[in-house]
Amino acid sequence: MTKPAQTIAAGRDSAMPNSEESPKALLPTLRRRITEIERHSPVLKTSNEHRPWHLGLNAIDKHLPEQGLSLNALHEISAGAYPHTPAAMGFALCLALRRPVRDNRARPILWCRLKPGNVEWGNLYGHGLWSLGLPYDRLLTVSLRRAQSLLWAVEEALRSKVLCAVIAEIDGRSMNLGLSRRLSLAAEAGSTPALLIYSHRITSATAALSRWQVKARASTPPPFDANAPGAPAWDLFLERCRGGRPGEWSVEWSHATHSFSVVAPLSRGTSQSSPEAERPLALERSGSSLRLG
Amino acid sequence: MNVQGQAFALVESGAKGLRLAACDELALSLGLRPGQRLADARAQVPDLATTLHEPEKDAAALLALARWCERWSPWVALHEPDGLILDVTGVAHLFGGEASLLADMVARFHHMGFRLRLALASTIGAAWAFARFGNAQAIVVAEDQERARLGELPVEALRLDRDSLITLKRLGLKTIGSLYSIPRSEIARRFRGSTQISDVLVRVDQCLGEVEEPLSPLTPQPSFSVRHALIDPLIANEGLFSLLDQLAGRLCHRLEREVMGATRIILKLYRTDGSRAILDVAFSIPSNDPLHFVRLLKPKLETIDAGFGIDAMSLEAEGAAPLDPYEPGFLENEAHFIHDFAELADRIANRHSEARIARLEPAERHLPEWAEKLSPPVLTPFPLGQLRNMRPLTLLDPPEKIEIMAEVPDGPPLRFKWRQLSHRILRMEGPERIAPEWWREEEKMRRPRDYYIVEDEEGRRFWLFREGIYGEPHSSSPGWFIHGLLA
Repeated sequence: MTKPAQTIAAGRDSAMPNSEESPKALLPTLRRRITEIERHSPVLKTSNEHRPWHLGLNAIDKHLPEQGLSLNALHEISAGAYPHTPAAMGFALCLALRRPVRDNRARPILWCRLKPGNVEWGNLYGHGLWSLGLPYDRLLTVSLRRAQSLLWAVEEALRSKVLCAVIAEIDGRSMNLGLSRRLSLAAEAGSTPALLIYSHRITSATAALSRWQVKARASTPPPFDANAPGAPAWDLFLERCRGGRPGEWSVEWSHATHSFSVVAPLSRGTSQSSPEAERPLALERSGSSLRLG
Repeated sequence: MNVQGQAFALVESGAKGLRLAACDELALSLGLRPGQRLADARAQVPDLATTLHEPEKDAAALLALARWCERWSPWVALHEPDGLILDVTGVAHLFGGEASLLADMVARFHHMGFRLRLALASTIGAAWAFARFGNAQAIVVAEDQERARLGELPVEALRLDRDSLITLKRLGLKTIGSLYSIPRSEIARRFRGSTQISDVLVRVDQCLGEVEEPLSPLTPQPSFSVRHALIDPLIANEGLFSLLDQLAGRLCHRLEREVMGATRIILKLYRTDGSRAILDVAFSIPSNDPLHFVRLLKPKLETIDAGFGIDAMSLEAEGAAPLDPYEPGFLENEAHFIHDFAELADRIANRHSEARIARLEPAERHLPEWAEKLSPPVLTPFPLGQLRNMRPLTLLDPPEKIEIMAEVPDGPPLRFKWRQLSHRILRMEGPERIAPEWWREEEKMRRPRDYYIVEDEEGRRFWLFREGIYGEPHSSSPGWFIHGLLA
């Protein structure tokens, strides 16, 4: 009957389904076939040097395909709300900083902006980038006037193979499948990841491998001063990821160790505390411990 | 030039009628002077021949002469309206000495029909003075005698304006030598001028060589240039490209021989109708790679209109500099990496002229907006230094004014309003006092700033500052500003 034919077929090409099988039995074989195709796809190969691009937190990495982000691909980071764009910019930089080093040489990062972005959010400040952990001799900035020139510059930079990563601030509403496919091909050709920062959330499909939404969140105060803002902290939402699962996390970044750590939701801002405690002077003046809080 | 013994003069129309602009020898000997009214001149010399003075033609002729003078030295500049200045440092020996150089010049100009006065001295000021006020047609001034011989010249030889000259004459200072004995502070006090022509001290120093006066030549000479002329003019692109390849190869070969690279290359295309097209490309680091040259010039060459045909092309390298030396122990692929990186920077910069591709370089200044500057995209490392204090990811230029609401005027702020949106401050760190740089003139009037890092109810972080201190007498109340955004 059909059984011997199936085993012969299995010997030759185990993934090829026999057309005489019932549709229900076809599903697992089809799934296996798709995974095999995807695994051989050059896009999902995480890196040629076999060093994956982790975020460093198991809670996040297990949502990503093969525990890390793909290196030769496009990733989108959009601000959860328009005013949270600086948070998206910071997160993009931190991701770029975590990219594994090739050939023992820390290559430069190119940041492409449009000139109106300089007016809206301010110019990139090297000392600030150093506060986040990026030494300023590793950053190059390009400021252009038109979006088309920006896309061209990003593509050229990706193909040149000399950079660690290319970060570009683009208007997400003008991004579509065609443009993003072109950039992702360039990223593959040049073995350089591209991180696009959008100020507006987008819903259209693009060729990016992962899409994140970033919002700023209240930070954990440092131990020496309960009223000071602490290390940068963000609410991340991984909206789409090819080969992975979406998820939500709250993280904070350490510039010294270049690593993320999870922020527990309970340490959210002191919005419930009384106004007196927010003023540093009140704490100093109080003599007895009963006056605190 | 006089014709058949007639006196000849050039005439220009002035505010009060026609006046003589210049007279020839015969006219001068008959008593005519430039500036005289034409009617008076004709009364004196009835058969005076005149032509209208055309200053533009004079200027064009002077320019043509200047370019011709490049046969002696490439450093030629104009001294309007009737002078030329040449820097002949290191050239004299090619003509058999300074005296024979001057004699050669006099002979050639005479052959062309010009009368001239020449002087050779060690500064522009001294040469000008001796040429116009010296006592011989061609003067060579030895360096040790310069000061003494300058002293004998009248003060008009100092290139000053009329007011200063009148004042000097009134004070009885008729020669340059009389200025030597007056203390410098006195001259400076009396004659300090805002421009060179009114500053006596500067002019004297320029003559004596105490102050630099550089010569800016008409055509800065490119040290490396190649040119190719064709028998039949080219119109098609392929022909132009192959000619460009050839020229680039030849130029780079010459650059390589000297171990130099160009920082800018200029391609000049000469059309058959006498017009020219010029294209140029700049590099961030000196380069002598012909492929790099061609790759950057080709897109620009495609846009050129060949007109009736291009029959000559020249490629010049400007700003030739030694190629960047590599550090010892440099790996082979590092060298390629630096080159590939420079090529990327050049490609972006040359394709979009408005692109600013740059690095952020730290500077040792107090004020945050001055503590950083843009520097060219070269890959040399910076000394990093300690991370001092938290700084924002972006800096607004200029800082934007905000409104602060606080419980007491000099207390810490509770809310602030920026771009019409109100933010409640939940956390604050500061103040970090940044004082103005008292050693700089322009900073003395600035007030100190107290910087705060604040976090609002959404978790967004801002860098605010207050300029000025509460309670300071004689100043307005302090202003609050937002200077940057943190991630």
